[in-house]
Amino acid sequence: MNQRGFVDRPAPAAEVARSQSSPRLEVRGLSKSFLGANALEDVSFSVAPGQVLALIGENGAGKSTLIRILSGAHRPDAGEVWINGSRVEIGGPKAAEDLGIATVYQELSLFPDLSVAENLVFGQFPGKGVINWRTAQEEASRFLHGLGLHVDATSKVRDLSIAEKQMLEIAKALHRRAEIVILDEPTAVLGGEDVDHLLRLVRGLKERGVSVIFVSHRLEEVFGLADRYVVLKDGKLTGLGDIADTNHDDLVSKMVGRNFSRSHRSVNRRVGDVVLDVRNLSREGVLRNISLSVRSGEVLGIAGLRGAGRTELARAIFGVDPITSGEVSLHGSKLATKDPLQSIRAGIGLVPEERKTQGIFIALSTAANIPIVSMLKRGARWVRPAAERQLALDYVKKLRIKVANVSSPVASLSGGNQQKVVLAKWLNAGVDVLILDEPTRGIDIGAKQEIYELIHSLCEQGLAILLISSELPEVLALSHRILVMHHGEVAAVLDGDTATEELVMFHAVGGKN
Amino acid sequence: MSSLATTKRQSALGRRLRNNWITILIFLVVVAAVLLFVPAFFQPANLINVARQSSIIGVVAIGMTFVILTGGIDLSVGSTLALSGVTMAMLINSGLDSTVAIIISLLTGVVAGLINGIGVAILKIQPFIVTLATMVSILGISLRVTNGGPQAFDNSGDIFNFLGSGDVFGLPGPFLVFLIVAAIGVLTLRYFSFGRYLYAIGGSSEAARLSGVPTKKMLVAAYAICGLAAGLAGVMTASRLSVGGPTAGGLANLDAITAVVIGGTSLMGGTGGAIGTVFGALLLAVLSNLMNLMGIGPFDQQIVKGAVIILAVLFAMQATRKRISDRRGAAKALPSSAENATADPNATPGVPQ
Repeated sequence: MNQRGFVDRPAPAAEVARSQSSPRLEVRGLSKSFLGANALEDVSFSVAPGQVLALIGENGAGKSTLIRILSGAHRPDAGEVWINGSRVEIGGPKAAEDLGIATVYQELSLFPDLSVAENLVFGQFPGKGVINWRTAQEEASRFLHGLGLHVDATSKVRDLSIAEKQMLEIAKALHRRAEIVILDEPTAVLGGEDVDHLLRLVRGLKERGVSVIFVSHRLEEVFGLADRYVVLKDGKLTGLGDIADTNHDDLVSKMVGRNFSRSHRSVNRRVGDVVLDVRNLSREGVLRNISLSVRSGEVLGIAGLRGAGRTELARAIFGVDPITSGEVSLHGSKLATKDPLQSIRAGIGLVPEERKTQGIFIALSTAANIPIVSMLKRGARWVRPAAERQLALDYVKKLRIKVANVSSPVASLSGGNQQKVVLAKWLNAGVDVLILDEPTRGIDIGAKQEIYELIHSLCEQGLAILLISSELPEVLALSHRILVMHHGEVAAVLDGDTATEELVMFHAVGGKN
Repeated sequence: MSSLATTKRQSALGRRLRNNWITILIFLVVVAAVLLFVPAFFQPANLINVARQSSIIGVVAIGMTFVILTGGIDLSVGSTLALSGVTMAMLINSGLDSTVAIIISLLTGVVAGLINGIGVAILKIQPFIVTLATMVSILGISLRVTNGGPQAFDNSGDIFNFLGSGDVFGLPGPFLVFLIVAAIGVLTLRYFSFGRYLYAIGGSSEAARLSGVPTKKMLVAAYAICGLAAGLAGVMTASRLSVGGPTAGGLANLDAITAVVIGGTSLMGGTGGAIGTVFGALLLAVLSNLMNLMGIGPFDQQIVKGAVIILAVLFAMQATRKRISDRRGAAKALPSSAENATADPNATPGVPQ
């Protein structure tokens, strides 16, 4: 392993000398390997009280390993962890909690059927032996209010939005007097307004003197929030410093280890005839009178806030959800959109929003996942394992899917590679129209770039693409035209060449010209 | 990466054996212990007896595998088994040709399965509830048409001999039926697209629907197959005893579920298969035969059987966990996919392993 791309790591000792008082958290020379592969190699950095440290890196860079060490799930092979100037051993999750380290994962650890208050005080119930629920509720309300979190303490956690659940998780950490809060990609699963809300809460933490380690793939957020950054690549520290001294392209090049400039807008210029035509599509209370058309070789971006009806539109076109009125035509002939299989036979494909539960069959192998749609489309009776293997190997090569064995369950693949399997599933079936619903959510930057390139090449092959995304730069870079939705209606259709983030947002929030 | 890929490659048979090794291992250990302590077990006559004992539950369990793979369950198979036997006995007593009587009995099973399937797939009632209800009602039907009494009939025909007790080349007829049913089950689940769709539905029914799988049709078919298997088991039971009894089902539902689960098919659906079920059914039959030979009373047998279920499932879980961690280890050894473990939905964050 060479040190390519590594430039400005200061020696740990120098780092210590520079800080006036002892930092809240400091790690020195942390290393960890699994079966001979280095997941983390000699990583050192520190976080001061009230500081937000952005932890950046592609999937597989070692971020999760680092977090798992700090939260007591893994023991490091070498290196030291210091908290408030004294060396500590993090023997397990309980030890981490006692040391004031709280970790909030994407998969939350709340009890969905207990109330907000019950979750908040869980394990630290007021009262002796018998729990005093009224006190607990009052305490919870007061505490949440103090954090600027306005949720009813008696409501069930199941009924909260994802954002509220995450904020409750953070509140729970604070309630246990955590001084170091680690947020593992908290915004990956959130939509626009929810992200803002969460970021506001994190800023609140700063003011309380809590140190935050913030993992995110969205660099925009990092710039708005963090004081310092740490970049990992292949388990090694490739960048460390003040956010003020860096910029987007610099961070990305430290992450990917090569020079990178923000994907420049390059859209396919050979646009053909209308392939998909949607007229006056409505669904009671969800979609109102939506008309759109997509041409061969064209990307129609669909933007809008969470709840604007983007996913619902995709599902209605694909025939998953019933529609009240309107029609969908493909190549000029009307579709009876009431059944996904009919849409598939007509040539529409959908890469759904929730990859793990809707896109792939997590217990089936890569080889078994890919041919499933084409089997249905052809009405195949037989499974041919050898042919499936070969097919999978072809797609592994074509789409650069990183997989150890195409016969193992796709559960063992990273998010980006799982998404490529979903795409392979549709490409193998042969589609004229591909609806992509948040195709890069929760995927690392390298895989994102590959998916962008794939979208581009599919366009050149003449596919019509509907791209739904909450990431505006993505929509702006890839789309020929952008349809902005607001409250289940079309708010505007913008030209991709001239649209700006501001213009899209203006229409998305319901602004009128 | 390429060397890893090649070492991982192995024959389909090897993979199957590896995937089911725990069940097979338990089977072999039991056989070895028996060789030492209960040598009478290996008398050919006794082995044939074990094969015979395993076959009826085996047939039911193969059908049950289809349903459990979709993430469902069928509690009504015992009642269906009884109804099918009763139907056959009464039709034959009314003078109907035996082949026709058998076909109608099998169809009875299919109809019961279709009703379950419609309840689950179309009415969207939980499988446990639907089949609990049909279990009770179907038993009621059998009791009503027979007035509660067992229906004796003349089982002297060749076909009953084969299905019930006869020998073919020294093997019991019902065991051959079991083997044929098992082979059909294995082939269907592995080489028919239908089988693949059942795994898909069990893995994620939403993903299956969005991939175009006609989930309702497939679910109804799975329950119908389960009903058909139970019907066949009913015909076999009646043929053997020369009686169609309304309560012949006994605990066949639980035994079949046990065989499926011991065989490594997850009650959550989506993983497992029919080969495991074959071994599961054999294991159950061997166990009860051994206890008979050792003179263990029927009450104690129940207690031991329960304990064995827990042990077998614990072992199976251990094996699955090991497989997953092996896979993770292999994934971690790949550069740039060290974080694959976090992509696993079963990974519990913050819990040391």
